[in-house]
Amino acid sequence: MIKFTATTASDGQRSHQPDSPLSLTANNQQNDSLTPIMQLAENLYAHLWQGQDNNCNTYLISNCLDQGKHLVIDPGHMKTQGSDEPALEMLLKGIQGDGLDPAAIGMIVLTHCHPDHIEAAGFFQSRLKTRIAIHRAEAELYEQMGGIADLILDEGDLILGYENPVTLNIFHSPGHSPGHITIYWAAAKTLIAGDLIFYRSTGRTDLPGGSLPQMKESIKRLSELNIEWLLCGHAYGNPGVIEGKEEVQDNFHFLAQQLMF
Amino acid sequence: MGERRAKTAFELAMEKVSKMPKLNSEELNEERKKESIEKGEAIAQRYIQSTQRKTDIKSEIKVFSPEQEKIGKTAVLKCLSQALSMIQPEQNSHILAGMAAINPDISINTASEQLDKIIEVFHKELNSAFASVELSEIKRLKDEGIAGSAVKPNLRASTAWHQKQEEVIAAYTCKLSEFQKTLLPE
Repeated sequence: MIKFTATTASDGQRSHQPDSPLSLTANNQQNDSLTPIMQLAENLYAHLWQGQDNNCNTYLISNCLDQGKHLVIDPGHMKTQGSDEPALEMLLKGIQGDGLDPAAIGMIVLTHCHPDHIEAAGFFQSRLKTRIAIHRAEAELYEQMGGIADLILDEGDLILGYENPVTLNIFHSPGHSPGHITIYWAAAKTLIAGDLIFYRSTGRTDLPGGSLPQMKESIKRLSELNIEWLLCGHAYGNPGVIEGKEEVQDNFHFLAQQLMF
Repeated sequence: MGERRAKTAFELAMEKVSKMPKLNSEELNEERKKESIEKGEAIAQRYIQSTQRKTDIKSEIKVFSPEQEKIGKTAVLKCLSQALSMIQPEQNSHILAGMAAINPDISINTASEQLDKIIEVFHKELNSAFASVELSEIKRLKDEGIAGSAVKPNLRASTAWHQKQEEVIAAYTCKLSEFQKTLLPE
């Protein structure tokens, strides 16, 4: 089970737990939004969407780029479709609540090109010159949807920063969409799974470009990784974060049985 | 009193036409020239679009009267030459074949060689410009702390690349334009 540990300090800043670098902490200070923020590691934050309409979870790796800039994965909607929940505003408040400056977001990685993951990316790009990165197979669709990616991703290593660089392995993980990626941070034993894997379920394969055989293959590959934190693109049926190697493996076994691979 | 009948629309139109001022010989020549150019362009367009089913361009130009032939042929050749492309060269040999069919002064082999050379150098220069801009973008990314085998700059989003690309295209469009002139009658 996910443990939320409130660690709000009296000065309103989040305090870290040095003896537990991957401890899960919740921080709702300075933040009246519905989005609980979890600090999964010293520089890894989860902004888990809990509004009424659909929107994705957003993850942030802080201070990993030049000049202490941050990486954001899937900024989500500007406003949700339906009841116009101010998703971006809530995210920005959440980032500020973490004691981070939203203006210091230097790069955004999009796991795939669906509106509930990409819509707010253009805001950062136009206001802050934030670099947008998307897989090669989604870049054209992103353009058709009015955006333009600064960076093209393929499977391989994404190395961020100079001293103590953060090395992320980008996996091309099609199934939910043709150019869907998952991001593995080996040092933190963390997989950012986008809409490929959820708790006891998977992303849809009936959307344009979706493929069940590819989904099976993608999940099978990722199940071989050493994962202690599985960060999902949505909080379907759970808070969106699967914690613990056993729990993660259990989830993979469940999916293997369900998908018969 | 005789019976009066209403005029038909045709009769009214003819009446109107008869009252219009006549074209003088200069205007008439200009109109014929315009007509020949339009016919020539239409023949050329039809030929360009008929890569699958070959149009006999030689027989098509027989549509011109002897006095229209020179202007018409020139229009066909001009239109065909303008369709030669460095960026999409797939139709170039079809176009050159059409041009050679109506202008015996054009040698397909020589023209093809010259054009291929321009295109080859153009693409070399474009690729080298691409590589150079990509390299400097990769360096910029490294300075921002972004590197690795997974990431490449998307030059479609790069102003520097668009500028460089325009420069190269402009330079080679001039070269192509000089070549196109050599294919037209003096």
